[in-house]
Amino acid sequence: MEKSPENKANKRREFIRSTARLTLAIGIGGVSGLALSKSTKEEWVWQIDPFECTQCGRCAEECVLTPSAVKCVHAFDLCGYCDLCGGYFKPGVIDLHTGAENQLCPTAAIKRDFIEEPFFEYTIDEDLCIGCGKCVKGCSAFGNGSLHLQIRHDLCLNCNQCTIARLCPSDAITRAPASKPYNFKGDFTKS
Amino acid sequence: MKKIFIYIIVVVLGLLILVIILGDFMSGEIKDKANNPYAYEFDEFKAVDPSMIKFKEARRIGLNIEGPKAIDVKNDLIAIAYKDHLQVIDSSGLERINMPIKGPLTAVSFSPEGALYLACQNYVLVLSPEGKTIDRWEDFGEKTLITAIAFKDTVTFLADAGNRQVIRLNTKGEILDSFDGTGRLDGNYGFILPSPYFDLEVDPDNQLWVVNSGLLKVENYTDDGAVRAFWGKPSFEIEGFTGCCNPAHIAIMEDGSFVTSEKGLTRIKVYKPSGELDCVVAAPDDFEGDSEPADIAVDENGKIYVLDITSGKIRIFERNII
Repeated sequence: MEKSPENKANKRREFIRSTARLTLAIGIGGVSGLALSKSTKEEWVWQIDPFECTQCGRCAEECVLTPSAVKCVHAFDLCGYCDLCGGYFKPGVIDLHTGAENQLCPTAAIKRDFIEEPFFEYTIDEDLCIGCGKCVKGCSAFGNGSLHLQIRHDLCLNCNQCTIARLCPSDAITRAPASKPYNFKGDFTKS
Repeated sequence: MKKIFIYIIVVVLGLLILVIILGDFMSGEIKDKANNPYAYEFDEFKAVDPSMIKFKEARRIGLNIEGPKAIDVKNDLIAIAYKDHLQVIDSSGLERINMPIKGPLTAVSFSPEGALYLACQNYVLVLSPEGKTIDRWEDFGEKTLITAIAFKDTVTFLADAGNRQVIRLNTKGEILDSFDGTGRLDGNYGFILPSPYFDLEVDPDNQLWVVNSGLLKVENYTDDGAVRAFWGKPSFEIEGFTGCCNPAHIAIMEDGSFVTSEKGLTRIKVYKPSGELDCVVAAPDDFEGDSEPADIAVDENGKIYVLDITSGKIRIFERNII
């Protein structure tokens, strides 16, 4: 049977229509899928595992921000509220007073307040803290490790490749789900 | 000619990118950089005057189970509590008992009769010298964390770090009473335990000594919890204790001298019965890096058994003979 020119034209139109419909369907489906995946996909942020951190000092120096987005945080529920605090006082201090010569923190970012005999509370001034981890080392060695470092997400730029994560000698900085952005001690424990 | 010029530019750019990538990788070597301008330095306090060291390490016994926690010694037998095992060996290293226990084990003690008392966080297992279960004492409460056991006549003392108290039990494991270290005196703070290091011992004169580690003191109590005496002073120097919670462990020798083990500055020392420093057994440099505080025990001959948790060894120290 011979194909008429009219039939040929009809088939071409039908083909173009079908292709257009298919393209539209794929486009709408794709955009919807992308939107759906964006709305349900977990966001990730950088965070420090305080049990892996060795307080090497790089958090203070290698973050793209100055001062660093890494800050010391205090797990008050773990703290012993010690008079002789290893995170506050320099090793070997004679009198336990708050004179600058006695303080371990290079920027005096830890505040010591008397609570009641024989307890003292230690709070971090995050504007002064540079994330060097010196107090964390002292607290871990001589205390119970209630001071620890965390990346503050109100400051962190969440770089695609975190500089300090790359240079961390103990690989303590990894991606954490944005829904659980902090690894606070006390809430966060490892056996 | 134009094409050759383009090829040269592409090759140069490629090389440049390669150099940048390699440089980026190489800079990872900064991981090994030792210099830390914010390093916490306390090495000067690790040094010990050699004339102060009056013990020498006579032997080491390697342990074949991971996670040693506590040690006790009696009549040539060494009991080691692991996280979920009990092992008893003799002084030659021959294994007498090796049994799994539903842990975590937190303390082990030989009774004066040679029975084994095991603290499993909040209950106590009583085993015969052969390792047969004789009794199980429970109901000390969920928050209880038993860190030491000691005996005086018919009374057993438990150090409960979870509730910051000493519990007195009769021979059946029934609670007689408990005390919190305030010594019934106004102004006394009671037991302060920033971390779970809470040891107690009964000395050869049947006196109960409890470590109030948050106050860096060793305190003597009457049976019913009245404080009678104490010793210990805060100091980074060799004479004192430092940090939040020291001494972490104590043992008492036949002559009433105290052997102490510390955390932070990991060191073992001997104090006279009066609390005056006698000598050093092991200096911080005798332990690896940031070692956990070693549990200690003493035998009838004055040998000191140090459970080096970090290296997984029992280290036996003997006094130098002059």
